[in-house]
Amino acid sequence: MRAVERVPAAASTGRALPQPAQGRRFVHLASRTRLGDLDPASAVLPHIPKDESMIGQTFLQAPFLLALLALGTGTPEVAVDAPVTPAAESPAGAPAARELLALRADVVHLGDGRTVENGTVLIEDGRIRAVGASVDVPSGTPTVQLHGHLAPGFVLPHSSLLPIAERFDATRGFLPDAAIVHAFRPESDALSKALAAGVTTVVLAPTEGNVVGGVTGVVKTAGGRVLKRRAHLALSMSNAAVDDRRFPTSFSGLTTELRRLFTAGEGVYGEVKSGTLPVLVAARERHHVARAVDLGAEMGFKGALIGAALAGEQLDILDKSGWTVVFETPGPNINTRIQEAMADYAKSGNPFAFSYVDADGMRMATAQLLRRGVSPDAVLRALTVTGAQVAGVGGRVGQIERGFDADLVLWSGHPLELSSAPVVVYVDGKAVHRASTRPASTRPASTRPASTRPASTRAKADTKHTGANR
Amino acid sequence: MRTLLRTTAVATTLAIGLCTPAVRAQNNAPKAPAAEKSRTWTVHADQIFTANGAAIEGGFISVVDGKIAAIGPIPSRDRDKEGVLRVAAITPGLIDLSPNIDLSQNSVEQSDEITPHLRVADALDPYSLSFDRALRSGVTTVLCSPPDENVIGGLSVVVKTGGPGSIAKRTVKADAVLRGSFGSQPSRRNSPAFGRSRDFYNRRPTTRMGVEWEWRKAFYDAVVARQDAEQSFPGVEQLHAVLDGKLPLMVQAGPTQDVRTAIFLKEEFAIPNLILDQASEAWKEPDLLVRSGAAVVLPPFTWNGRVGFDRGFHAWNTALLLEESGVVFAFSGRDATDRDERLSVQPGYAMRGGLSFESALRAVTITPARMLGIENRVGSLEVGKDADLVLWSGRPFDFTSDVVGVMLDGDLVVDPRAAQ
Repeated sequence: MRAVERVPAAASTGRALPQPAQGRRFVHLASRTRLGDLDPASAVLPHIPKDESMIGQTFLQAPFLLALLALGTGTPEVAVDAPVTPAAESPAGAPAARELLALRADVVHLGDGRTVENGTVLIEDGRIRAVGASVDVPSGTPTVQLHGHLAPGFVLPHSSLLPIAERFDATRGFLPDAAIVHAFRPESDALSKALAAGVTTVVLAPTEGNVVGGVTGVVKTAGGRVLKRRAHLALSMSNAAVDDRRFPTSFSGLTTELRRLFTAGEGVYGEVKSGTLPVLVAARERHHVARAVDLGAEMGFKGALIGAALAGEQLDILDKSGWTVVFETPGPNINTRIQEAMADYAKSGNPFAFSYVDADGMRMATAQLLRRGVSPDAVLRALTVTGAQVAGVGGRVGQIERGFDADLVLWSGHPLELSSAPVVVYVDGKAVHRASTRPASTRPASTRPASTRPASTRAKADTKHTGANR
Repeated sequence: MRTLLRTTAVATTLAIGLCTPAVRAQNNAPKAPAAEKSRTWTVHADQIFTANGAAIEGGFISVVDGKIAAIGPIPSRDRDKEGVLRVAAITPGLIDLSPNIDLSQNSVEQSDEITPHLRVADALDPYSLSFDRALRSGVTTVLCSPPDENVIGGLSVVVKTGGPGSIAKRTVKADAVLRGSFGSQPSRRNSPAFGRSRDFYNRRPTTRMGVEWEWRKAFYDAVVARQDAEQSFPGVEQLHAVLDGKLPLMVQAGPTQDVRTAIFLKEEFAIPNLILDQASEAWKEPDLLVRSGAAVVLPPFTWNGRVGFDRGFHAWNTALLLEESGVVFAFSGRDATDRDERLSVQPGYAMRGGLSFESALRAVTITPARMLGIENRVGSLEVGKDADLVLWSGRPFDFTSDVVGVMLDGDLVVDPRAAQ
């Protein structure tokens, strides 16, 4: 069963909230309102309509789901996932209004390396029902013809999206009981930007300043949904974790304390040892990585190494080790040694994914890998399937496959081309973001210069709506 | 059937031999042809110094899978054998008990002065270039210790200077000694008892007297904790192991006053096994040393004789004096001015001070191995031991001789043929 969880109402959608008394919140709401006043065609849409914003709310409000619960026949997830049945055969009393949508695109990247030319994705109630070159689309289904590449929304299993104050505690090295989802603010600008960059799911993680930063959470960048409230235990074995203002100030102290905690195995440490809670370990330099792998072998855990830029120089200990490397994405100024090491690691066939700082960093890091000869399929897999697996939501997002969430991005060209850009972003089958301008590279070379076209037509020019405009 | 089995075995060996080097060659710049990564060699030398008895004139060493498989005079039929490495002289890989292995600033646990339970193995960087420097100069085994900023820094580890990028995999002996420091190093840079503290902690001590007090208090507390479990504290097990003789205690003690303080501590708490590191002025107290049975690790020789944090005086004939008194000693390369030849030149300097070649050789090979109890693996050239060899261009420790080749666990890290 999939974990679909509600965020606390206070943290979910500003729109559904009673007006709070605190000045800070008020200022924040006011600024958001201004955003919403922008032209919907050109603005980043920070929200989808409130009624659809959270599965949890839908779950409580929608009568058909309540009816399902009353029958005790299953959960909302089962209902959404179940083989599609004609409306008449739905459980009695449930208004089985299935919302269908078909997207057709020039190229569909399934995420696992396969592509379908002129493919169709059939979406039912926010989930993918079918994908392929010839999909049986029920008559009357709204169909959108998209020009470009349709790919799964990117899944980044580590991010710096939250403000630093929410991710770092300078006074203590160990915060095993902290859960970062409490700091999740769905309406934040950073999330909207990630969404606009084609990132639909991220792991919220603490900084590497705390040895044990707490428990991470997996969220969608649109709709305020928490997919997983307890996704990983975030550890740090990097320089930032040894701070001379609190214990520990040394790698010896850090490792000795972690060894003690894991040996005692209480709380989250026990969950890690039993395999129910994966770990994300911040380990930048090669000795951090070596230390993490050694401690993991001693204490019986494996997970993802965050920021291990030189992992490609450490294949003697990392090859087929069971660890995954999550690369930092600092932007264009990655030095040559790191570029080569990243490429060596990517070419070794060992799993890797990316951390999210900002859109440019992510795009440049992936482009550097292509430049160094890594196959686009491998990089796309890192951004989708592997990202989702590391995030712990591998069966749910990161692929265009039956049963997966319909988190899709229409790219103007190949998703990894630096000149491509996301045109439309779908989350749970809803178009939650449309690019305000069309990327230069995709403007038809013929016809008239782009500047002579009215601005209002640019955004829509490449989607021909044959059905409902979503 | 027998033939079949043998063929299979050969095929498997070939397959392994072909696969492993291919993977390695991808990751590292190829240092030798792939076939030579098999850690199997035959080396001929004009002289082999085993550090375990007489030298072998015109000897060979056969290395199989990283271990010494045979050693002895070259059989006459093999004299012109092909595919053999030929060098002037071979000694065992050198062992440094006080090496210059870089530790980052994040190696000092400032939250306490007494941290016997911390392991320096958790702070080492297997990729540190200082390991590589040591290895290329002939040092194949090192005892890495916590920095001497804390009074009792923690547990040292014996590691090989090369091998996989994992300290655990390079370890020869974990928790080999408990390391601490006397003198002024553990009392420097600490916050004063008054005024503004630099750090979160007001660290102690700030004087030599305070350092001694911390030492005695730590062992006193350990003795108390034996009687009363409620008085236990982190690291008490390691202190008990020292008191019981299960764990040697190694302390930095350069000047005479620190040598004395350390020996008085040993006698007060009946510590069975004490190693005095950087004990440049040990020669001033030979009787006390003999009485206590403590072993000594000598610092490198310097141009003016002053050496170490407290600038103790290290005379050229220090080693000779200790030898004549019957004190067990080893050389070390810590803080030597030459970054690339730290340990390998120290025996030559000691010989200038009158020490015999054999004693000088033992002080960088078998003696340090015995001090740590690792002589079953390293320290001398004997069948079954690790194939850690130093290949020399002439008689070892002569000023005109050089280290031209280094083999670590059968890997030819420095190829003597490249020098020819």
